[in-house]
Amino acid sequence: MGSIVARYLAIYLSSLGSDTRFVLIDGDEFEEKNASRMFFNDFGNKAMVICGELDGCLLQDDSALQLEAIGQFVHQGNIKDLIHSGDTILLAVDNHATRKLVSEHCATLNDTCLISGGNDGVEVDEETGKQLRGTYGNVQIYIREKGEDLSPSLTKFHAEIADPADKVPTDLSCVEALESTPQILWANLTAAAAICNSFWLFSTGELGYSELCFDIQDGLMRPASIPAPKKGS
Amino acid sequence: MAGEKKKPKPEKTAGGGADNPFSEFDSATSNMATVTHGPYAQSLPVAGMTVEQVRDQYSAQFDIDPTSDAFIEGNPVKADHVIAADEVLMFTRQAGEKG
Repeated sequence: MGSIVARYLAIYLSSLGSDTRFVLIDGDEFEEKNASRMFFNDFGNKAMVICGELDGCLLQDDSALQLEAIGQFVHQGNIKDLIHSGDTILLAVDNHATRKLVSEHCATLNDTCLISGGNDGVEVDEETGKQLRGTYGNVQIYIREKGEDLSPSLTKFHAEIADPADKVPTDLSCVEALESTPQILWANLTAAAAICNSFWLFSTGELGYSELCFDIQDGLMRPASIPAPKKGS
Repeated sequence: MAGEKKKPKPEKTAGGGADNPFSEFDSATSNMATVTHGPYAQSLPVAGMTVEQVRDQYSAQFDIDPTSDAFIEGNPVKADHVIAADEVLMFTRQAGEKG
Protein backbone atom coordinates (compact mmCIF):
# COMPACT_ATOMS: atom_id res chain seq x y z
CA MET A 1 0.00 0.00 0.00
CA GLY A 2 2.80 2.39 0.89
CA SER A 3 4.35 2.14 -2.56
CA ILE A 4 1.04 3.07 -4.21
CA VAL A 5 0.52 6.01 -1.87
CA ALA A 6 4.10 7.19 -2.35
CA ARG A 7 3.91 7.23 -6.13
CA TYR A 8 0.60 9.07 -6.40
CA LEU A 9 1.40 11.46 -3.60
CA ALA A 10 4.66 12.36 -5.34
CA ILE A 11 2.73 13.22 -8.52
CA TYR A 12 0.28 15.34 -6.54
CA LEU A 13 2.85 17.13 -4.41
CA SER A 14 5.08 17.78 -7.40
CA SER A 15 2.16 19.31 -9.28
CA LEU A 16 1.61 21.85 -6.50
CA GLY A 17 4.99 23.43 -7.18
CA SER A 18 5.46 24.48 -3.57
CA ASP A 19 8.49 23.66 -1.45
CA THR A 20 7.72 20.30 0.17
CA ARG A 21 9.90 17.72 1.83
CA PHE A 22 8.61 14.21 1.15
CA VAL A 23 10.28 11.49 3.23
CA LEU A 24 9.74 7.79 2.60
CA ILE A 25 10.44 5.63 5.65
CA ASP A 26 10.54 1.85 5.37
CA GLY A 27 12.88 -0.80 6.70
CA ASP A 28 11.45 -3.54 4.48
CA GLU A 29 12.91 -4.95 1.27
CA PHE A 30 11.34 -5.58 -2.11
CA GLU A 31 11.46 -9.32 -2.66
CA GLU A 32 10.23 -11.64 -5.38
CA LYS A 33 7.13 -12.61 -3.38
CA ASN A 34 6.01 -8.94 -3.39
CA ALA A 35 5.52 -9.00 -7.16
CA SER A 36 1.95 -10.34 -6.82
CA ARG A 37 0.83 -7.06 -5.20
CA MET A 38 3.44 -4.44 -6.04
CA PHE A 39 5.46 -3.28 -8.97
CA PHE A 40 9.05 -2.28 -8.57
CA ASN A 41 12.08 -2.03 -10.82
CA ASP A 42 14.71 -3.30 -8.44
CA PHE A 43 15.19 -5.42 -5.36
CA GLY A 44 16.36 -3.77 -2.17
CA ASN A 45 15.05 -1.41 0.46
CA LYS A 46 11.56 -0.25 -0.45
CA ALA A 47 12.03 3.40 0.52
CA MET A 48 15.32 3.60 -1.40
CA VAL A 49 14.00 1.83 -4.51
CA ILE A 50 10.84 3.96 -4.75
CA CYS A 51 12.74 7.15 -4.02
CA GLY A 52 15.18 6.34 -6.83
CA GLU A 53 12.34 5.53 -9.18
CA LEU A 54 10.48 8.75 -8.43
CA ASP A 55 13.62 10.83 -8.62
CA GLY A 56 14.38 9.46 -12.06
CA CYS A 57 10.92 9.35 -13.61
CA LEU A 58 8.57 11.82 -12.05
CA LEU A 59 10.43 14.84 -10.88
CA GLN A 60 11.52 17.72 -13.05
CA ASP A 61 14.92 19.24 -12.42
CA ASP A 62 13.23 22.39 -11.17
CA SER A 63 10.73 20.53 -8.96
CA ALA A 64 10.17 22.06 -5.55
CA LEU A 65 9.55 18.59 -4.14
CA GLN A 66 12.46 17.35 -2.08
CA LEU A 67 12.57 13.56 -1.85
CA GLU A 68 14.34 11.61 0.83
CA ALA A 69 14.47 7.92 1.76
CA ILE A 70 15.11 6.48 5.20
CA GLY A 71 15.64 2.72 5.18
CA GLN A 72 14.47 2.05 8.72
CA PHE A 73 11.40 0.68 10.44
CA VAL A 74 9.85 3.12 12.88
CA HIS A 75 10.40 1.96 16.45
CA GLN A 76 10.52 3.32 19.97
CA GLY A 77 14.18 4.20 19.64
CA ASN A 78 14.00 6.34 16.49
CA ILE A 79 10.48 7.77 16.34
CA LYS A 80 11.42 11.09 17.95
CA ASP A 81 14.05 11.60 15.27
CA LEU A 82 11.69 10.69 12.43
CA ILE A 83 8.37 12.40 13.23
CA HIS A 84 8.16 16.03 14.38
CA SER A 85 5.53 18.62 15.13
CA GLY A 86 4.27 20.11 11.88
CA ASP A 87 4.61 16.86 9.95
CA THR A 88 1.82 15.15 8.06
CA ILE A 89 2.26 11.39 8.34
CA LEU A 90 0.75 8.86 5.96
CA LEU A 91 1.00 5.50 7.70
CA ALA A 92 0.70 2.37 5.58
CA VAL A 93 2.04 -0.33 7.85
CA ASP A 94 1.00 -3.94 8.34
CA ASN A 95 0.75 -4.07 12.13
CA HIS A 96 -1.23 -2.40 14.87
CA ALA A 97 1.79 -2.12 17.18
CA THR A 98 3.36 0.48 14.87
CA ARG A 99 0.00 2.28 14.55
CA LYS A 100 -0.16 2.56 18.33
CA LEU A 101 3.45 3.72 18.57
CA VAL A 102 3.00 6.46 15.98
CA SER A 103 -0.39 7.57 17.32
CA GLU A 104 0.95 7.86 20.85
CA HIS A 105 3.96 9.79 19.61
CA CYS A 106 1.75 12.16 17.63
CA ALA A 107 -0.26 12.76 20.82
CA THR A 108 2.87 14.39 22.26
CA LEU A 109 3.24 16.81 19.33
CA ASN A 110 1.55 20.18 19.07
CA ASP A 111 0.61 20.17 15.41
CA THR A 112 0.32 17.07 13.27
CA CYS A 113 -1.93 15.06 10.99
CA LEU A 114 -1.64 11.28 11.02
CA ILE A 115 -3.48 9.38 8.29
CA SER A 116 -3.35 5.61 8.79
CA GLY A 117 -4.86 2.97 6.53
CA GLY A 118 -5.14 -0.78 6.49
CA ASN A 119 -7.09 -3.67 5.06
CA ASP A 120 -7.94 -7.14 6.26
CA GLY A 121 -5.88 -10.11 5.19
CA VAL A 122 -7.58 -13.27 3.98
CA GLU A 123 -7.26 -15.19 7.20
CA VAL A 124 -9.00 -16.44 10.31
CA ASP A 125 -9.08 -13.78 13.01
CA GLU A 126 -7.22 -15.33 15.93
CA GLU A 127 -9.26 -13.47 18.53
CA THR A 128 -12.77 -14.12 17.22
CA GLY A 129 -12.22 -17.22 15.09
CA LYS A 130 -13.99 -15.45 12.26
CA GLN A 131 -12.91 -15.93 8.66
CA LEU A 132 -11.95 -12.55 7.20
CA ARG A 133 -12.72 -12.12 3.51
CA GLY A 134 -9.94 -9.59 3.02
CA THR A 135 -12.35 -7.13 1.41
CA TYR A 136 -12.66 -4.72 4.35
CA GLY A 137 -10.42 -1.78 5.10
CA ASN A 138 -10.39 1.58 6.82
CA VAL A 139 -8.54 4.86 7.12
CA GLN A 140 -8.22 6.88 10.32
CA ILE A 141 -7.23 10.54 10.52
CA TYR A 142 -5.80 11.87 13.78
CA ILE A 143 -5.33 15.64 13.74
CA ARG A 144 -3.74 17.79 16.42
CA GLU A 145 -3.48 21.56 16.41
CA LYS A 146 -1.89 23.76 19.06
CA GLY A 147 -1.59 20.78 21.37
CA GLU A 148 -5.27 19.84 21.11
CA ASP A 149 -6.86 16.80 19.50
CA LEU A 150 -9.15 17.85 16.66
CA SER A 151 -10.07 14.22 15.93
CA PRO A 152 -9.77 10.91 17.81
CA SER A 153 -6.42 9.19 18.10
CA LEU A 154 -5.97 5.83 16.36
CA THR A 155 -6.52 4.02 19.66
CA LYS A 156 -9.61 5.80 20.97
CA PHE A 157 -12.19 3.68 19.15
CA HIS A 158 -9.92 0.72 18.42
CA ALA A 159 -9.03 -1.52 21.33
CA GLU A 160 -7.12 -3.81 18.96
CA ILE A 161 -4.71 -0.92 18.28
CA ALA A 162 -4.60 0.27 21.90
CA ASP A 163 -3.66 -3.26 22.97
CA PRO A 164 -2.10 -4.80 19.86
CA ALA A 165 -1.65 -8.53 19.53
CA ASP A 166 1.14 -8.06 16.99
CA LYS A 167 4.61 -6.54 17.18
CA VAL A 168 6.59 -3.81 15.47
CA PRO A 169 8.81 -5.32 12.74
CA THR A 170 12.00 -4.79 14.73
CA ASP A 171 10.63 -6.99 17.52
CA LEU A 172 9.77 -9.91 15.24
CA SER A 173 11.79 -13.10 15.20
CA CYS A 174 13.21 -14.25 11.87
CA VAL A 175 10.44 -16.88 11.59
CA GLU A 176 7.71 -14.35 12.40
CA ALA A 177 9.14 -11.90 9.89
CA LEU A 178 8.89 -14.50 7.12
CA GLU A 179 5.21 -15.19 7.78
CA SER A 180 2.84 -13.38 5.48
CA THR A 181 -0.92 -13.31 5.09
CA PRO A 182 -2.56 -13.23 1.66
CA GLN A 183 -4.16 -9.92 0.79
CA ILE A 184 -6.52 -8.89 -1.96
CA LEU A 185 -4.78 -6.42 -4.24
CA TRP A 186 -7.96 -4.43 -4.81
CA ALA A 187 -8.64 -3.96 -1.10
CA ASN A 188 -5.05 -2.79 -0.75
CA LEU A 189 -5.50 -0.40 -3.66
CA THR A 190 -8.76 0.95 -2.21
CA ALA A 191 -7.10 1.59 1.16
CA ALA A 192 -4.27 3.42 -0.61
CA ALA A 193 -6.78 5.54 -2.54
CA ALA A 194 -8.66 6.29 0.69
CA ILE A 195 -5.43 7.48 2.31
CA CYS A 196 -4.71 9.76 -0.66
CA ASN A 197 -8.31 11.07 -0.67
CA SER A 198 -8.08 11.84 3.04
CA PHE A 199 -4.76 13.61 2.59
CA TRP A 200 -6.16 15.75 -0.23
CA LEU A 201 -9.27 16.64 1.79
CA PHE A 202 -7.19 17.46 4.85
CA SER A 203 -4.77 19.61 2.88
CA THR A 204 -7.63 21.56 1.31
CA GLY A 205 -9.45 22.02 4.63
CA GLU A 206 -12.43 19.94 3.53
CA LEU A 207 -11.99 16.77 5.56
CA GLY A 208 -15.34 15.87 7.09
CA TYR A 209 -14.65 12.51 8.70
CA SER A 210 -12.23 11.02 11.22
CA GLU A 211 -12.48 7.46 9.95
CA LEU A 212 -13.57 5.97 6.68
CA CYS A 213 -14.59 2.30 6.31
CA PHE A 214 -15.07 0.28 3.15
CA ASP A 215 -15.83 -3.21 1.95
CA ILE A 216 -15.16 -3.81 -1.73
CA GLN A 217 -17.31 -6.96 -1.85
CA ASP A 218 -20.36 -5.09 -0.58
CA GLY A 219 -19.58 -2.01 -2.65
CA LEU A 220 -19.65 0.23 0.39
CA MET A 221 -17.50 3.09 1.64
CA ARG A 222 -18.72 5.45 4.36
CA PRO A 223 -17.44 7.42 7.34
CA ALA A 224 -17.53 5.72 10.73
CA SER A 225 -20.04 7.21 13.18
CA ILE A 226 -17.48 8.88 15.37
CA PRO A 227 -16.93 12.61 15.92
CA ALA A 228 -15.86 14.42 12.77
CA PRO A 229 -12.71 16.57 13.03
CA LYS A 230 -13.22 19.86 14.83
CA LYS A 231 -12.47 22.91 12.76
CA GLY A 232 -8.98 24.19 13.35
CA SER A 233 -7.80 27.75 13.05
CA MET B 1 -40.83 29.21 23.07
CA ALA B 2 -39.78 30.57 26.45
CA GLY B 3 -39.22 27.90 29.05
CA GLU B 4 -39.40 25.10 26.52
CA LYS B 5 -36.69 22.52 27.01
CA LYS B 6 -34.67 21.80 23.93
CA LYS B 7 -32.98 18.49 23.28
CA PRO B 8 -29.22 19.11 23.48
CA LYS B 9 -27.59 19.11 20.09
CA PRO B 10 -25.33 16.07 19.80
CA GLU B 11 -21.70 16.39 18.83
CA LYS B 12 -21.38 16.25 15.08
CA THR B 13 -20.47 12.83 13.82
CA ALA B 14 -19.73 11.64 10.35
CA GLY B 15 -21.58 8.93 8.51
CA GLY B 16 -24.84 8.31 10.23
CA GLY B 17 -27.98 9.80 11.62
CA ALA B 18 -30.78 11.87 10.25
CA ASP B 19 -28.59 14.90 9.49
CA ASN B 20 -26.41 12.92 7.13
CA PRO B 21 -27.34 14.09 3.62
CA PHE B 22 -26.41 10.68 2.26
CA SER B 23 -28.62 8.78 4.69
CA GLU B 24 -31.36 7.05 2.77
CA PHE B 25 -33.34 6.38 5.90
CA ASP B 26 -36.09 8.39 7.51
CA SER B 27 -35.66 8.34 11.26
CA ALA B 28 -38.69 10.54 11.90
CA THR B 29 -40.59 7.59 13.30
CA SER B 30 -40.21 7.67 17.06
CA ASN B 31 -38.90 4.14 17.59
CA MET B 32 -36.20 4.41 14.94
CA ALA B 33 -32.48 4.74 15.58
CA THR B 34 -29.45 4.14 13.40
CA VAL B 35 -27.20 1.13 13.92
CA THR B 36 -23.76 1.18 12.31
CA HIS B 37 -20.88 -1.24 12.07
CA GLY B 38 -17.95 -0.51 9.77
CA PRO B 39 -19.41 0.58 6.42
CA TYR B 40 -22.88 -0.74 7.28
CA ALA B 41 -25.57 1.61 8.58
CA GLN B 42 -29.30 1.19 8.80
CA SER B 43 -32.22 2.89 10.48
CA LEU B 44 -33.99 0.28 12.59
CA PRO B 45 -36.88 0.16 15.09
CA VAL B 46 -34.55 -0.26 18.06
CA ALA B 47 -35.38 2.76 20.24
CA GLY B 48 -36.30 1.42 23.67
CA MET B 49 -34.10 -1.64 23.27
CA THR B 50 -30.83 -2.09 25.15
CA VAL B 51 -27.47 -2.19 23.39
CA GLU B 52 -27.21 -5.89 24.18
CA GLN B 53 -30.63 -6.60 22.70
CA VAL B 54 -29.67 -4.79 19.51
CA ARG B 55 -26.40 -6.70 19.36
CA ASP B 56 -28.17 -10.04 19.81
CA GLN B 57 -30.86 -9.28 17.26
CA TYR B 58 -28.67 -7.81 14.53
CA SER B 59 -25.28 -9.46 15.02
CA ALA B 60 -25.76 -11.79 12.07
CA GLN B 61 -27.16 -9.13 9.74
CA PHE B 62 -24.38 -6.67 10.49
CA ASP B 63 -21.68 -9.24 11.18
CA ILE B 64 -21.10 -7.63 14.58
CA ASP B 65 -18.21 -8.95 16.61
CA PRO B 66 -19.64 -10.09 19.99
CA THR B 67 -16.70 -8.46 21.78
CA SER B 68 -16.92 -5.13 19.98
CA ASP B 69 -17.40 -1.93 21.94
CA ALA B 70 -20.54 0.18 21.52
CA PHE B 71 -20.61 3.98 21.21
CA ILE B 72 -23.27 6.64 20.83
CA GLU B 73 -22.13 10.04 19.55
CA GLY B 74 -18.57 9.03 20.28
CA ASN B 75 -19.26 8.07 23.90
CA PRO B 76 -18.97 4.50 25.15
CA VAL B 77 -22.24 2.88 26.23
CA LYS B 78 -22.79 -0.22 28.31
CA ALA B 79 -24.77 -3.30 27.34
CA ASP B 80 -27.77 -2.22 29.43
CA HIS B 81 -27.97 1.27 27.91
CA VAL B 82 -31.41 1.91 26.43
CA ILE B 83 -31.35 3.36 22.92
CA ALA B 84 -33.29 6.59 22.39
CA ALA B 85 -35.02 7.56 19.16
CA ASP B 86 -32.78 9.09 16.49
CA GLU B 87 -29.58 8.04 18.25
CA VAL B 88 -26.73 6.54 16.25
CA LEU B 89 -25.40 3.36 17.86
CA MET B 90 -22.03 2.29 16.55
CA PHE B 91 -20.49 -1.11 17.16
CA THR B 92 -16.76 -0.85 16.53
CA ARG B 93 -15.22 -2.79 13.72
CA GLN B 94 -11.57 -3.84 14.02
CA ALA B 95 -9.23 -1.76 11.87
CA GLY B 96 -7.63 -3.35 8.84
CA GLU B 97 -4.26 -4.61 9.97
CA LYS B 98 -2.46 -5.19 6.69
CA GLY B 99 -0.79 -2.55 4.60
